[in-house]
Amino acid sequence: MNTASAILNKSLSSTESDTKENSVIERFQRQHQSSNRKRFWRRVLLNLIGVLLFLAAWEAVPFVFPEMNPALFPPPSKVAQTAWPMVVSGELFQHISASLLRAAGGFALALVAGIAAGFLTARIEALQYLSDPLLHGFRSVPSLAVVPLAVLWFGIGEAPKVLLIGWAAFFPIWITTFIGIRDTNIVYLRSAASLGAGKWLTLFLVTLPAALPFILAGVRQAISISLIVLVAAELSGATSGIAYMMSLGHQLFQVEVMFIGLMLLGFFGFLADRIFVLLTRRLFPWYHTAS
Amino acid sequence: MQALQKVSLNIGKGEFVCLIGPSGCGKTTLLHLLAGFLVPTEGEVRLNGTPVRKPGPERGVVFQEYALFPWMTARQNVEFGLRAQSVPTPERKRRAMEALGRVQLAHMADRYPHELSGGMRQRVAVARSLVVEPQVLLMDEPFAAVDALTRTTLQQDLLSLWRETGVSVLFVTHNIDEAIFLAERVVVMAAHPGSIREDFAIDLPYPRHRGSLEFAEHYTRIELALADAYRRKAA
Repeated sequence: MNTASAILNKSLSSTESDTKENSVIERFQRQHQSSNRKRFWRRVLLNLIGVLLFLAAWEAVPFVFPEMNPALFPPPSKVAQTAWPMVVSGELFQHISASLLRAAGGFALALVAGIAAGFLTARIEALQYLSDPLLHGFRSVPSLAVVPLAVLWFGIGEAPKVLLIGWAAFFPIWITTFIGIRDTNIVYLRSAASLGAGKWLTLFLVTLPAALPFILAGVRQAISISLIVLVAAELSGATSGIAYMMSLGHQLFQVEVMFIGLMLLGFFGFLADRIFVLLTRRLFPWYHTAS
Repeated sequence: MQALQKVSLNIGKGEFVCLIGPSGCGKTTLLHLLAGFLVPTEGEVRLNGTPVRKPGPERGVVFQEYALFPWMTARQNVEFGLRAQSVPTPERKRRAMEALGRVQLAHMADRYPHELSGGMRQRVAVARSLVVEPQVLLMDEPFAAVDALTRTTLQQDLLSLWRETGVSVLFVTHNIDEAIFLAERVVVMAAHPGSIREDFAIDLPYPRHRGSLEFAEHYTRIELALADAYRRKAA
């Protein structure tokens, strides 16, 4: 009887302390979250201040160096003045969408072909040896050197530009996929085999996810390569696009227009990289801390 | 190079056997042969009379560490073997949660391995192997990388799982204390070439007490046999 009541007492007091503990945990979590939020906004604020400081310094250049020709180095206010009518008329948007479509198309081609080629060459030895000298040989040719030939063959339409971007972005994805799949930790494969997994289950649930950190590194590189080749392809002959707009600005001696192009390219390169990082965090929460 | 020579080992149904020996004595090689990761150049591995040629779910394997799939949560890891058997989703989930409950980790089901401690990861690894109901559990120094206090708890929990499931266990270790605490038989191996040196029966009732006289006696005997094995390695 006594022991029973003692146990009862004990369990009562333990639930009491449990709820107390829970409220402490909740308060701690709330505090932690709010301090996290504060840190995030502080960071965004500092980012913005950094950009504004840069623009202010740029704006100050003509005052600090009066001997400089403002037509060659226009301050941001001049660039904005030129940009605004182009935004209103929709001209700027046309150039942007033409460029982004090309880059995205080429990149998508490279993604599919690169992962497929990387997987096949890592898994089929004969295929690897057959393609090794060719793939590495082609990889060594700077892709910008292929641009004039592509224009000669295919003209200045959309297809050669997309193909050129796809060609250049293919190589980093192929090589990182190859390495990732070739070097899959054997313990993962052995675990899968002793749990009775077949070929396809192992491929999709073990081999590809295990290679993913490598593949993602290649994809990130391919994103920046896509933008570089995009510029080269558009400069060599196009009727729209950010780089085309810049070369037009060059010919008409509108340096402001060239600056608009530079800023757009920088902005979209930055944006693509941020989106990539965000997506990988969202889709693969284990990725950053995985061994 | 020859890793093992003239090795003959019989493990009875439901038996708990520890393999102990100096590094390079081929204990991991032997375990990999039983798992089917390696094929013997000579001789044979049999399970219930059927020759073993490749890995299979009737022989569960628990590795030293880092064998959980880091891209899957604890529950998804445990579900993997059931997925391979095409068990329907609701039942898969139920059985995985049950297995995690048996290793006291039901509350960690949705965590990724990197969010778990070393000891928890090994518990999940044990649950992942046991959920497909193997006949034999092959364990390759599974608790070597966790701290001493956690290791003791893991050992006790392994013993209760062993009693509940009736699975046979082959447990590779280089820790004498661990071997005596766990096993019904401790098999001592020697190196160059890898071979079985001695086969001790540990006839102590469970739970075993590390401070007991009998425990110490077994310890001394195995230590002597091991020292002998090391001498042979050095020679």
